[in-house]
Amino acid sequence: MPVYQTRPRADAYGYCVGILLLDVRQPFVPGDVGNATSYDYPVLYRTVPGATPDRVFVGDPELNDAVIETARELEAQGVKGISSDCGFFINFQDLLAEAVDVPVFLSSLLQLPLVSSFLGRDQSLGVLTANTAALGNQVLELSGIAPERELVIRGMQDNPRWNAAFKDPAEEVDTDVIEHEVVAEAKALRGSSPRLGAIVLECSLMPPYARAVHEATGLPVYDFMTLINLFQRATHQRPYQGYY
Amino acid sequence: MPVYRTNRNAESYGQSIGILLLDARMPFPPGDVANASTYRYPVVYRIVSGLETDVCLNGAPEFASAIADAAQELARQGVRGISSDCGFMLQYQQAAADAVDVPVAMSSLLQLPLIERSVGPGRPIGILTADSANLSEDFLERAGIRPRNPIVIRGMQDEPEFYSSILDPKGTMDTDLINQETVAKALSMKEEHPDLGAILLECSLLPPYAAAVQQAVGVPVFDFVSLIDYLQAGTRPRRYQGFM
Repeated sequence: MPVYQTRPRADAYGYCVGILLLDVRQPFVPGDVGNATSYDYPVLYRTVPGATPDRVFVGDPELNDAVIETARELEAQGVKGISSDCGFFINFQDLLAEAVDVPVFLSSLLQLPLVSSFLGRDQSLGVLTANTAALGNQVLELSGIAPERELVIRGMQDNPRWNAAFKDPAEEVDTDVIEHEVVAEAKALRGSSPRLGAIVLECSLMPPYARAVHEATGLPVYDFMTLINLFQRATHQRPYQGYY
Repeated sequence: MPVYRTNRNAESYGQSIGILLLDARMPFPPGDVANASTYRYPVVYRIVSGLETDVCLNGAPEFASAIADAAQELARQGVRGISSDCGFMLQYQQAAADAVDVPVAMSSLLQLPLIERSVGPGRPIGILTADSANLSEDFLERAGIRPRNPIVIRGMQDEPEFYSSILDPKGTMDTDLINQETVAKALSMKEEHPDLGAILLECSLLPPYAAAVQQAVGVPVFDFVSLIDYLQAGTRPRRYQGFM
């Protein structure tokens, strides 16, 4: 049935996932949610006007309309699912999931319950975040994580090179230096809990370092990319061409 | 540091995911969980002796220790994660996860809470299962999954080709016929629930038809392979070689 219909508001076609962006100017390196080469499929970006990190961290309700409007624009372009480039967009998850037809998966933190279900009862789950102050009980509750699971949380907020690289606006980033800081925090996470079963990286700037975190800790590492890839897969199922 | 150490429990190396199999003989075509060409990474299989299809579907708590032993055996050989080829193995999720250090994802049904969250409150989720007589919300709740959205459960047990190939295996399987049966069932869910948010294929024999279901119904389709791919992604984070 090779009959295709025009989408009245689409500029172009074939975008799999739409990604809401913070209103910041920073270098998004390969592997970052905000770098299109991180994906094996096309994604479409739209900045949410006024969505500065401090407002998204607290879920400023004055952003509600802008989040919904930007997401609807992406939906009208034909994307099959909507994500974001900040784990704290979880503050807008339920609002947006109701406002659009396509699935919404705004935050890597939404993986906490699923990854937790992979673990034994005596294992703990690690979370590495950009900012531990913003990752309070309210945000954890929004993730849906069961209160029985022991969580171990560390943040990047006291790392000088990380802070310098990701201020807004930022000029440049040395990924070797950032990797060093991220791995050091991950090792500290590992060291603080002998029964750590997995690590979830909250921040969309961290997937470039997931492999290094995995190699340094020996633990499974889930990040923004594993979440987005799961939903892309479920919204773009393909026939199999294997062997028997 | 190209120094590798012998694992005395390993016959071979590089197996990403270990998959526990029901004790059943039937064709597993490409796309099936029990067909190795379904994956872009190596998997290794182990049959759980005596755990026949109907035994597992009817519920068999006495197999929990055999499952735990088999999971440990796979973990000793070096797999990075453990799964199974039956969604009803959800009943062994905790026993297997408690038995090993690596992450365990025994059932496609573990994806349900995340799917619910992504489509928003109130939208029905369709679960297409091998046998709806045994899959109830009670069964889910016993495994710690408490549905928040309306759940629409439909079974394949009365479909002639599915039944005679899988539930009472005759030794052959016509995948064109099962494709038709599966798509028809999925379409009937959508007709009864026009606001269906997503479909979850419980059965490990259904991923070969996920693409056809998606094409026909037009909603996100999650299945056993989307779960196993997700599990694997965290156990081996990728390196990125893009540009900025």
